[in-house]
Amino acid sequence: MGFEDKSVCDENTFKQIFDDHSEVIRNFIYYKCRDMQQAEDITQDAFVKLWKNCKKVVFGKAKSFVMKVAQNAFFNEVAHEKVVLKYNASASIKKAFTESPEFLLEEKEFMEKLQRSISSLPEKERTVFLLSRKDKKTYREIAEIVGITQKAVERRMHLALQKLREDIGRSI
Amino acid sequence: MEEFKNIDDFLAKWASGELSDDQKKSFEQSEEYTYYKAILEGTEVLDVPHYNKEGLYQKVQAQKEKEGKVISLVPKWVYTTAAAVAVLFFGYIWPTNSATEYSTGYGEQLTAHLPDNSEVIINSNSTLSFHKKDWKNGNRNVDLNGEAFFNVEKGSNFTVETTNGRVTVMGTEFTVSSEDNFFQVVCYEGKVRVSLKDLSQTLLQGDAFRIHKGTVENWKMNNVEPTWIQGESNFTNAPLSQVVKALENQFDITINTENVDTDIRFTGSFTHGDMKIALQIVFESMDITYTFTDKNTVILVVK
Repeated sequence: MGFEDKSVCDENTFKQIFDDHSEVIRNFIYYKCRDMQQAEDITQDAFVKLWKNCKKVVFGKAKSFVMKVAQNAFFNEVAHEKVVLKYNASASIKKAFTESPEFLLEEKEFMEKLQRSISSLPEKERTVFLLSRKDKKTYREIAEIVGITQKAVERRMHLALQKLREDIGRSI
Repeated sequence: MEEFKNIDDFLAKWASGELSDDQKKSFEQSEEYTYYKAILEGTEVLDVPHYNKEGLYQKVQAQKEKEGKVISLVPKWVYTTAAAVAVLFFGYIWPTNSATEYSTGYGEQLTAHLPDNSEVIINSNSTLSFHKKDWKNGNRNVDLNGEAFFNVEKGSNFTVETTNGRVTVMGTEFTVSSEDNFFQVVCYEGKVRVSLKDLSQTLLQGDAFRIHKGTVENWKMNNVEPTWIQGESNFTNAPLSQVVKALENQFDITINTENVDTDIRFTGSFTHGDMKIALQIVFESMDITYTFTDKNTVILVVK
């Protein structure tokens, strides 16, 4: 069965689309709305909607369909709370800092500052930054997810890093 | 090192490793570089909340069913060749004898409906399945591995099969917990019959039944539904092994019990909101020290 004529209504195909794309959609919405429950609800609804429309959506467009539905759902939501990624206390942070100069803040203090700084980034920049660094998406992939040009993604990434740097710098 | 500030994607190119060697070298010698490096490395150790993909998929499946379309799991070739005919004769109701299955992951609960509209609330790390077609033919069986609370429609009659034993229902509310070495049934309303290989017992409202290492224990319960539905797991004189299993299922951890007696009994409860508090409540009261050997593994030692 060719790539194009795979039916989204087919259970295996549907599962495959879910497996391939649901995590990044969920994270994407989470980075935007800062509420995991909401992010998972929106992801769930988006896939149910895909199922309902499975006869109308061709396989190649399924991913962007779900992305759009999820994004629209997000725009309709009002409640936005702070997204603060928990930092993994058991992971060895030491390794990450061995080469850093001594005047850098104590690790723990630095991590808290970083968490706060990421959290206070403008939504558009935070989303790009986290999709790139936590979900390991390329700028091209992010462009597709967010619905902007790759160039715009790179600008946002640059700005995000600059802002984090300024934010952390001020507090040293 | 000021020049990069004038290029509006310089840091993006650096972060993705797309700078030219010269650019990279000169940037790495700047003081700014150490900060940016620390930002990326710090971000590496930040956690995005764990994603339970299967759990969310189950929810999608459950909602799909609720929306009224029947999901077909028949082989693709049957689907593609027979679909057109099926639509003509059956609309989109496509009869199938594949199992309907509901699973929960660690720390999850799920509400499902049986074909007779009875409600089942499935506790964490459990699987429940049934064959719709069998139900239509009068074979009302449910397979369970784990724990679930059944709120049965009046007049409905069905059987819960577990590897430990069988529970037959006559219009009632009850829970069944069946793990590898453990079997417990609590009847909250009405009447159920518990059948094991060489034993059969009827439970009435408020009766609880447990089999632990071949010994039957009976006691009374006053609750109208299991407390775990409200986010609290409750135990009455339960062997430690059962409590440990519940903690593992709830919090996605492994508990090493080789240094303690897992037959000692625990009466009390823990809430699902906070793992640390839950562990503290259970083990402090039993004079057991618990130590994390890594993020997901706990070892128990008698004080």
